[in-house]
Amino acid sequence: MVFSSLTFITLFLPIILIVYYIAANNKLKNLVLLVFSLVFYSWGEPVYLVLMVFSIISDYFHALLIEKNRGNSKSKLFLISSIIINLSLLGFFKYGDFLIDIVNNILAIGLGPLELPLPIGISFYTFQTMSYTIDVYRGNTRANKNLLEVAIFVTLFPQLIAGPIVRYVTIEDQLKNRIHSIPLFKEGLRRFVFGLSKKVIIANQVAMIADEVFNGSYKSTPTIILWIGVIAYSFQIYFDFSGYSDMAIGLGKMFGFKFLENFNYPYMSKSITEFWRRWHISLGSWFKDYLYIPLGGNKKRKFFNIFLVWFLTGLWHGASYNYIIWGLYFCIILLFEKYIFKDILEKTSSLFRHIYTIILFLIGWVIFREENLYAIFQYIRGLLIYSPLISTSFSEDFTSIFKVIWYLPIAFLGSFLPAIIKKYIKKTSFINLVLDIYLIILLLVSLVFLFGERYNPFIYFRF
Amino acid sequence: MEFINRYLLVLTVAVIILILPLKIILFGEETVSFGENRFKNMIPDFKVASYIKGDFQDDLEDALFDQLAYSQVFKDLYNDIRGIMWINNIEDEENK
Repeated sequence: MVFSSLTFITLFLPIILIVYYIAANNKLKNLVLLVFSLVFYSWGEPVYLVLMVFSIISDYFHALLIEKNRGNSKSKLFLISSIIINLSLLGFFKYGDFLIDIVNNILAIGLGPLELPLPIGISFYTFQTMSYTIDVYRGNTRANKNLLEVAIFVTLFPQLIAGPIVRYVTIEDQLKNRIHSIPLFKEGLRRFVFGLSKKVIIANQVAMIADEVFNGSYKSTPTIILWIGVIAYSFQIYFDFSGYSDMAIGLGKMFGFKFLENFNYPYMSKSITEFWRRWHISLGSWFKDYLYIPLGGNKKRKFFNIFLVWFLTGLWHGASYNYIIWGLYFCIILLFEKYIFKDILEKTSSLFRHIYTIILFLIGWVIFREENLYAIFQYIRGLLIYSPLISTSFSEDFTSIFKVIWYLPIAFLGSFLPAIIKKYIKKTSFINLVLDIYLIILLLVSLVFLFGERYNPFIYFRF
Repeated sequence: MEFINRYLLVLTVAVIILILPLKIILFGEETVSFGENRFKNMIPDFKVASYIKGDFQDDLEDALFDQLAYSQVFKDLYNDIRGIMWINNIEDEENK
């Protein structure tokens, strides 16, 4: 089920809220959450529900066995077994066909593809369950004997399908005791409506421009159109994914949970290093804490560690060469920034650093969006080698793009203005009232767009 | 002011969200869309086989699109906004 669907907003959400708040105590509330979360997942993927339940039960028992054998070698064996099971499931369903393709290319044997549909959210919940068993092994938390609570941690519907990747330690206490209050609920509702409007009013609209440019032939496309296309895509992916994260964090608050932030105005960054501290924070910190630091961080084999983390970050996003190249592209830039450019960058003006960062992440989005390697090359070449916008191409092909181009400045403002407002405007009662009225209008406009445009997939659902 | 600040958003959103499906419960489903000159999608019967295939979910979304309160008003507003703001869908351009 998609948050920006009528089924979710007009049926699922009101029903779960009513049943949840009628439930007398936290145990009952947890049961309500589990049942509804399973319905939520099965709505889009009824068959793969079994896979997720298997993953939950497997990690539940592995965590208990790790704790029971703490201090002896069996503990490590159970951790390894848990990681192997999780990664095998992820590998089989997500990377099976990709591996078959590689084997076919290398050995020239005609293995047939599996052609299995990708279980929704498998990359997200696999990383969550892995963080649980690893944290139990490290002694950061205790194994939970209550299967219901472990199941809720994994299946909790706000973050189940597209993150943020919530760690068990973050919500461990909230699973048992969480506070429900009108201010927290209202804060969550505000965040949900704000996220919904980001997705429906901005992301879906700029997507029209991005789709039109990326679905065309880049060979004959004027340079300015290619830049408009990639700028539109950069806003689409930001408002789509951060909108989803806002909705997830907001829904969490409505049910008493406090998830960590997943975005921090990444397009305001002044370097790629800073960009990655602000973009998909939960994934970056996951790789840092569960891979980069255990491998030795920057103390030993630092280049290899950084390479591996970015190779896997790219691969995590999808079973395709372009994602690997995308990860390695950022790996190279980050290494340059860390070891070569650092002093030079710090001495340059703020404006230059912004422009430098924007150009680099825009090129990154070309690699991310376009799966065909030749097309990536063509697009980047088109961005860098000037091709004029001649009147015939303008009138014939690109009129539709220019009709909706006014959305780009709105998206541009939306990508940093809330941060400035938050910083400089003090929240008085009057400001709060104005904000609430603004959000009610945003909700109504979002509903108008929801009724007008029925196809609302989230980009990160396929990861 | 304190009371309004505390409850305005929550209550207004609750009313907006609840009023949409409430019409189906109170007044039943409509069969014909006079605005669009076609039969409306109806709420499907639940069947396990159709749920597993995903048909039930799609049919329900289609039905809500037609049957929720003010659905026609929202659709008309959407078309008006598109007209005012020049948001002509690219498909519309291509269909011309």
